[in-house]
Amino acid sequence: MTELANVSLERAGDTVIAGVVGEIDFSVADDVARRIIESVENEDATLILDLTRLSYTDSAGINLVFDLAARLREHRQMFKIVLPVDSQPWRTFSIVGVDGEIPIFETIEQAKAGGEAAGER
Amino acid sequence: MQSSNVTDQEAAERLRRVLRVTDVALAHLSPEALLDELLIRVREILDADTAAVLLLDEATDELVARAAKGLEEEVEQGVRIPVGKGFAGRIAADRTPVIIRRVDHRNVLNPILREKGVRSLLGVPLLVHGRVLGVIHVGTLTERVFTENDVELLQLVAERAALALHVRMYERERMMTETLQSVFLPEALPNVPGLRLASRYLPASTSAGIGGDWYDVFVVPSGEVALVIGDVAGHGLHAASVMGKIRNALRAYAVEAAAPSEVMTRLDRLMKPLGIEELVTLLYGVVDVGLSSFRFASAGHLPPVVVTRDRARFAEVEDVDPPLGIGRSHAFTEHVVPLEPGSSLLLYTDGLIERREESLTDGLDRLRKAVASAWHAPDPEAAIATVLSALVGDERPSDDIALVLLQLEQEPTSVDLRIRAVPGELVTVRRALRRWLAFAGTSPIRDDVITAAGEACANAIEHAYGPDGGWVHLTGIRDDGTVELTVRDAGRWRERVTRRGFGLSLMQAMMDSVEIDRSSAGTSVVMRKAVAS
Repeated sequence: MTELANVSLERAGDTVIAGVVGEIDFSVADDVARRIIESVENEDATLILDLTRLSYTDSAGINLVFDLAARLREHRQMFKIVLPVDSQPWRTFSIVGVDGEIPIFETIEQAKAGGEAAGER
Repeated sequence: MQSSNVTDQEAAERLRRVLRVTDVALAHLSPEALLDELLIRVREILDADTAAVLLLDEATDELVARAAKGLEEEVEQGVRIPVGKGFAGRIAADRTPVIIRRVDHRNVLNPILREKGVRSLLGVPLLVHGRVLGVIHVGTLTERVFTENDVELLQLVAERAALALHVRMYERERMMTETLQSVFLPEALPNVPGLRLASRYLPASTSAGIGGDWYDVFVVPSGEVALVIGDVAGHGLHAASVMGKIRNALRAYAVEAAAPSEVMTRLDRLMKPLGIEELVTLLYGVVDVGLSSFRFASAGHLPPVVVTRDRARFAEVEDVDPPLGIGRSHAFTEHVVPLEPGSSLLLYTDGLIERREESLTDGLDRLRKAVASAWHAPDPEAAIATVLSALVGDERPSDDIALVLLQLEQEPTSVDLRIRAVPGELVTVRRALRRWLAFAGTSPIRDDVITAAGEACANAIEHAYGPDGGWVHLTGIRDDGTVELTVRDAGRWRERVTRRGFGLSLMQAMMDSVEIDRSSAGTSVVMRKAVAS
């Protein structure tokens, strides 16, 4: 099913790093969302969504990150996105203001350090 | 004397027996078994004491004893007779029957014939289409005068035996080649939208000619199309097995490493640990997802030919890297050839151009001209056939040849796509648009058009139809630097509350204009955007 998008999961302490490689459209978004949500435990503090190697997303990807943000907020968990500026997903997200609601970082290291988000510059 | 009638009858009987020599019962035998059976019958028919077959080894121009009756030592000792020398050598050289009434050391080279006490000999060439395959001879231990009749009989046998042998040898060679090909050459070339591919492997003409040439074409995980052409020096199974090792290692590295130079550097380092001492030239490169360039690294391999708008040229390769395993481990240089719709790329091995009496430069020049003349071929298969007939002709090549031809389809000027209204078809829409918008490179403008079209199609899929589904029709035209996209469905808009309507925001932000027309007959969305071309 998810030939288009592959989800990789990695854990560093109380942080889950979920990487999505490939393309997100509404044929795979639900599947990708489910895999990410399943990976986050109650005691985890932070989810970092690494979209460095995401080459395309449509509005299904926007719904996906807003839904994730809402769920994590309910559980008082932090949510950060890693996304290089000038990529197609970055442009898509910035048009509808994802960066205003979810901190976006350019690299994993910056996201881990929790420094200044790219969208807050 | 009443013997003439008897002789006629005898002759008729002998002839019947000759015709049995290559009858159906022998059809399934291997070349060795066929020769054995043949000699038993020949000895009987001609009432001889010995019979032997020597086959020509083209590589050394010698006759090699392959089967014998009454002279088994000849085969066991692997007797080799130079063509032109001695009894058998003379038959092969002159292509005529030779009769020796009294054997002595002047007319027979082979000591075994003398030691065995063979007194009289008759031999004829094994000919197929005027080509000497070998020699068959019979002998007697008592002196005998071989007659014209005997010569004719043996020639008849030789004719049939040569044909049967030729077919079997050819079949066996073909089987070996096919086995190797099925192991090392790709079963099928990948199907990549916008690309047309063809390839060919031609084994060399000699029976040992299966060489170390190979090609490979596959799609790496990033979506790039990988092309490989390589040549392991030497022939035979050893060269082929070296080729197999390198081919498999390359495939493994190509999945891990993105850059061709990196793949090549890793392969180079692998030569010593694998114990490969042969000279290996290799070219490995990838065509990017947008089909706009070929990035490659070359280990001493001949340069690819690029055809653009009727002009064939060699890819410029400065700083030629040496063949693999030359010793000093070094970083390989990466070269880039820009590609455009309609252009072609040919990778090949040196067997395609090397002629004994010709310099490499002349060979390359002939290749360039042949490729240019194949430019108008309707498809890559036909183009390869044109190139091969110009350079190789009908003859089997003296060295093996591998070649891969890649053609980029002409850029479509418009897009017309009908998809089923299911989410899984959205990727089809993106693929078609990427190809159509290839002229815009990998620009944000192109991304915007593709994203907006995807949203319009997703809306139609999500909102237009019930569980029965339906169709979505996408058309795109380019006019005067403006792209116009139309997405139509025949459904009735059903507003859903499950998702937020980011789609329309994206379409409006990414396109210059968006017009939506909803009617009872369906919805049509027309979007325009200026693109710099």
